[in-house]
Order: sequence, then structure tokens, then C-alpha cells
Amino acid sequence: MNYIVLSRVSWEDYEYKRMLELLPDRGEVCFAGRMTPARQRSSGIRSVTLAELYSLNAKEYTLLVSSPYWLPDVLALQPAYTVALLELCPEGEDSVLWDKYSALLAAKADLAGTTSERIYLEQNLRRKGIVYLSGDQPLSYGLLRREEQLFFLSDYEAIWNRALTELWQPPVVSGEEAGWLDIQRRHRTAFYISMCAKMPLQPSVHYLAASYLYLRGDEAASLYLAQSFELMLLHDYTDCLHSHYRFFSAIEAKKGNLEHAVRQYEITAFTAGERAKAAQMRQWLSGGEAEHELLRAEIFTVNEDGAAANEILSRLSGPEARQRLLLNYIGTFQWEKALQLYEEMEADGTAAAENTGLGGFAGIAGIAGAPEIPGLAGGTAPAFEDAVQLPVIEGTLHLLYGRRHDAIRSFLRSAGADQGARQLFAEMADMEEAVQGLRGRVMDGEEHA
Amino acid sequence: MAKSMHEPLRKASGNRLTAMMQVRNETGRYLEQVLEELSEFVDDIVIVDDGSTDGTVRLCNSFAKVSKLVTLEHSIFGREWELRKTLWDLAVSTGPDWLLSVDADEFYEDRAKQEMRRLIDQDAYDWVAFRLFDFWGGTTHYREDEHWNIHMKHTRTLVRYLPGFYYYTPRMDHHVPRLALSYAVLPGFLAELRVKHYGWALEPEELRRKYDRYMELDPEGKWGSLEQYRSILDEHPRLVEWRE
Repeated sequence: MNYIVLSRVSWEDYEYKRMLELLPDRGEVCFAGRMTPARQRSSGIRSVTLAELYSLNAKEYTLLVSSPYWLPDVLALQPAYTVALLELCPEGEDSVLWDKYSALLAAKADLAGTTSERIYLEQNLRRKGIVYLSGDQPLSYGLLRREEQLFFLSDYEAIWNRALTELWQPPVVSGEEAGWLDIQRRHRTAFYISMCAKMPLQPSVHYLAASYLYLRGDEAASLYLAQSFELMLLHDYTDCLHSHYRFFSAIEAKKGNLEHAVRQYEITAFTAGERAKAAQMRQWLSGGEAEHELLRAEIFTVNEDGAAANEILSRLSGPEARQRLLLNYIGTFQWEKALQLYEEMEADGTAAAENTGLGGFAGIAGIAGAPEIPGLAGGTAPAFEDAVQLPVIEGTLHLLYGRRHDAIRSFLRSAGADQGARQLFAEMADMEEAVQGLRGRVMDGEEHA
Repeated sequence: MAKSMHEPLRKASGNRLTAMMQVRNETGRYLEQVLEELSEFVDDIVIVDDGSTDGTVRLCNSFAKVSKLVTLEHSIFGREWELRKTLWDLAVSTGPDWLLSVDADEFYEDRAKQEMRRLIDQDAYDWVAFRLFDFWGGTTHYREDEHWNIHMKHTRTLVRYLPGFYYYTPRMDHHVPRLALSYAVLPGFLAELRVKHYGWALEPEELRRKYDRYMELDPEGKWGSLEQYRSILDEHPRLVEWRE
């Protein structure tokens, strides 16, 4: 496999150099940016300019992208595979912009990796293809030979290697062999359970153990969450009803204890929106199998487990499930899927305002300048209250695909004549500036349009 | 009686209030008066008798609102966590909406009794805390100094019963919180309503006996403050007159 590296920084500062040594089936590796001839020789990596990048047949390459501001190029190049290397917002960057486009990059990527455990856990709740690029295992988990060099792989490097390979060599599905995702979750679980023994009074360690056990579908998650909750109380950290206590509802839903799950959620429900959700949950509870599945999906959604909710909703038919799936696609930044689903719903008449309760809009947090959506509260209110209009999503995608005029038209349509448009255009300008800034930095003086 | 899943967890009207208390050898003290007053404003009274050897059980049974009474053959006061849990389990077995944790020497002022229904018939908060005053040497003055100032903050004594909630009480032998710590994460209401505690409204020789008992149970101050234990014997405590 050939690779193109789209870095956030110059080659000298590139943090994933060892990872490039370990790339499976390594053919040609190109770095988009300047490298001295000596460094190219020693690393076996070719430096390419932007113009050269676009002359390559990208379908024969896997992109390794470590800045969200490469997203327009990722979409333009249409590579064989996209691998996102996700990072916390670096100093000096606009965190709202960085986080939003990082989330969009992650959703677009075929595989994502990160050295941030926070991002790793967040992505686990949004998708399946995520690798934690750090670890605590002192042992070697395999060997890799490249030409004359021998590399001893750590646990996460072995997993990363396998995850990359499986992009183009999908495994034969076997009921017995665990996938790499579960192997890494198992490592993280074992690590945190051992930490609980070493730090028995530390609530966050118990919470992380509970989180990994939950992701693995292990019922012991509730025991560790209970311990974490008790420790929070003993430390007088009482502001944990939503952050900690609500998690019990997701764990119960995963166990199949729907009645208990609804109760646990309802204990945490105080706002009008939350109470309406609880009422809807109780109604579903007294329904049949389809309602129970909607209920399970809703419990996962209110616990920010979009991945589990989407898995259920995408199996269900019916307008209710599709409306909720639409919102969850938006919530997990799968915006292209969201637009596609919305078009399907429009075609079959289930996307009408009175059906979605959204007035033709869909909701998601985190977009600057997003006007509020009227009518989100109520019995059928979807999970994401901080909302943005579908035209904003459409406009953002136009922008990323280089269709600037279409983007402006969408933003104007979403904002009408009020000041919302100004904020959207400001964000658009910020994004364009960030993209140009990145290119200038990485290409180190190379002329670029 | 389990709550129906068709109904909201929190009711804004028609809530049933159950008082819960643990007692031991209370004859000749305040129990009769406490039960009389509680009978005016609660729906049920649930009691655990911690191995009384006097007429306490008979006295409790003479009140119609005492709906459940468990008598322990031997006192488990030395394992207070267990005693609290026994009382809690008994109280929730009645399917209450709200629980009022009362000691056998605590009196809610009239205004508090009048407000009680309004305090529980709402769905915005799950507990109510009051100001407790430690009366000293009699029933006309409360004590207020460095070691005796519990009325300066609020004490949670009234809680909504939430089936399925994770109730956590630390397993301590003494000075166990009267209600589960878990309520602290739920929204509550700090009421400017007062509760009179007559547990220290005693003659000097009785105070001395109480001091001796505390020191016997907790000689190293493991469960409470030794300084506070010693202050029980202060000859001239600062007392403030109670005004209704």
C-alpha cells in the first residue's frame, strides 16, 4: 500500500515518524511538505508539493491525516482509504473550529487513531474504527521486519498495524477470534481494573474502568460505576448526577433491564425536555418490541453513546426510527449520511416538519452561529437540543468540497436576513484561513493558491 | 408497593409522608410528645426499637399511625450503620413517597408542620433540609458556640423515596448520616424552618453520663471530635434563648 502523509506540522516536528516505519505493506510513502534530500533518503519518504500531490493517483494511496484543516484536500483527493490521527486542539488554534472539523474528519475517516484517551473514549461512543495510540504494557506484542531493520511492537502498535491491514484485507469473520477493537478495549479495561486496586479511593479511575467494561458489554460496569459514585460522594463531589449517575441507565439498557434503565434516567431528569423524554420512555416501555428498541436507542443517545444508538436505529424501519437516526447521524458528525437520509425521508414524505418536529431542520451542538430551532421541546423531541439547521450542514459540506457559492447560498438560506449569516460567514472565513495557514506552515514557504 | 412505571417518578400532589425513627429506652423522656406531634402531620410512622428494656415498645404501639414496628432483641447501636439500614429497609417497605427521619427527641416548629405538605407536594426537588437547634440544660435555650452550632447550616431530614436509586450510606459504627449520602447529588431545598433537638436538654448529671457513654464508645475520637465530647462538660456554655 502507498501512503500520503498530511501533517499538521513540518517534517521536523512530525510526531508519528515511528508509525511510518511500521506501516504495513509499505510501498511508496509521500510527505506533503518540505524535507531535505538527506532526510528523504534516511527515512525512505518522498517529499511532495501540493501540485505533485494532486498529480498522484490517490486511489492507490492511503492518507494519514493529522490536521482537520486537510479535510478539503481529503475530500478532493478521494484516496483509497483515509486514516485520521486525531489530536486535542493545539495551542494557538481556535478550539471550536478545531473540534468541529476534527469530528467531521473522524467521521469521514475509515480508521482513526489518537494518543488522547479522552478522544479515544469519545470516538468509541461514535464509531468502531478507533485505535488508542498509547499504552501501558511493557511487553512486546510482536515483531516487524522492514528491509534490514527489526521493530519490536508495543501492544497498541500491533493493534494499529492490524487495524490498518484490515482496511484492505478484511478478516474472515470468525466467532472465536476477538477483533482488534475489543482486544484494545480489553487491555484498557485490565489496566484500569489494576489501577482501581492500586488507587482504591480514586473515583475517576473507577469511572474509567466502568466505561471500558461498558464498551465491552461487561455487566461488572455497574459495580465499578457504583464504586466511583460512592467515592464521589465521600469526596463531596456532588455535581455528578449527569456526568456519573445517568451512566447507570446506559449500563442497565445494555444489560436489557429496560425498566430499571428508564428509572435511572428519570432520576436524573429535571428540565422540561428531560421530563418529556422520560414520559416518552415510559410510553415506549409499555409498547412492543419495536418500541423497546426505540427506547434502548434513546437511552444510549441521552448517554452520548451515538454508536450504540445508531446501530439499533439503522436496523429499524418506520418514521420515528428514521427521524432519530437522522439526529444521531448529525450528533455523531456523519453529516453526509444525514443529508442522504434526509433526502430519502423527503422522498417518502416522512421528513415533513410536522413529522420530524424540526421544522425542516436537524439538531447538533457545536456549530458557531447556529440559530435555535423552534419546537424542539415536547414528547417527540429529539436528543440534541442545541440545534443547527440542515442548510448549515449542507453549506458546511459544500464548503469542504470546494463549492463556495453553493455554501454561501446554503448559509444565506439557513440564516435568512438576520445576523446568523454573518456568523456563518465568519466561521467560513476562519476555516479558509486555517486551511491556508496549515498549507503555508507545512509546505514551509512553498507557493500555494 | 412498587410504583407504577406508567406514572412519573415524582408526584406534585397526593404524596404520602412516612416518619421513620429508631428508639431505645425512651420512657419518661420525649417520645410520647414526639409521637403525638408527628401524628398531626405525617401519614405513617415506622419505628425500629433497638432492644429497649422498658415500656418503649408499648408506648409506640399505642399510636395508631405507627404502622410498622420492629423490635430488636439486642441493641445494635454499636453497629449504627446496620441499625440505620434496618430502619431504612423497614421504612421503604411501606412504599412511601417521602420519608422524614426523626429522632425521639426532635420537634418540628409549628411553621414547619404547617408547611410540610407544600414541601413535599412538588416535583422540583428531592430533599428538604432544616435548621436543627441543640437545646441545652432545658427547653428554653439552645447552645451556640464553637462546638455546638449545627443550626448554622442545614440538616437534610426529609427526602423523596426514589425506587431504584443508588442509596449509599458509609458503613460506620457511629455518627452515621441519618439518610443516604446519595441525596446530595439530587436537587434539594434549604428551608428556613427550625427543628428543636432536646437530646441535650438535660440536667448536669445526665450530661456527665452522656459524656461518659460517648467516651466509652469512642475513646480515641475515631468517629467524632474529642474536643466536642469534652465540651459537653463545659460549666458555662453560651446559651441563646429560643423564640417562637
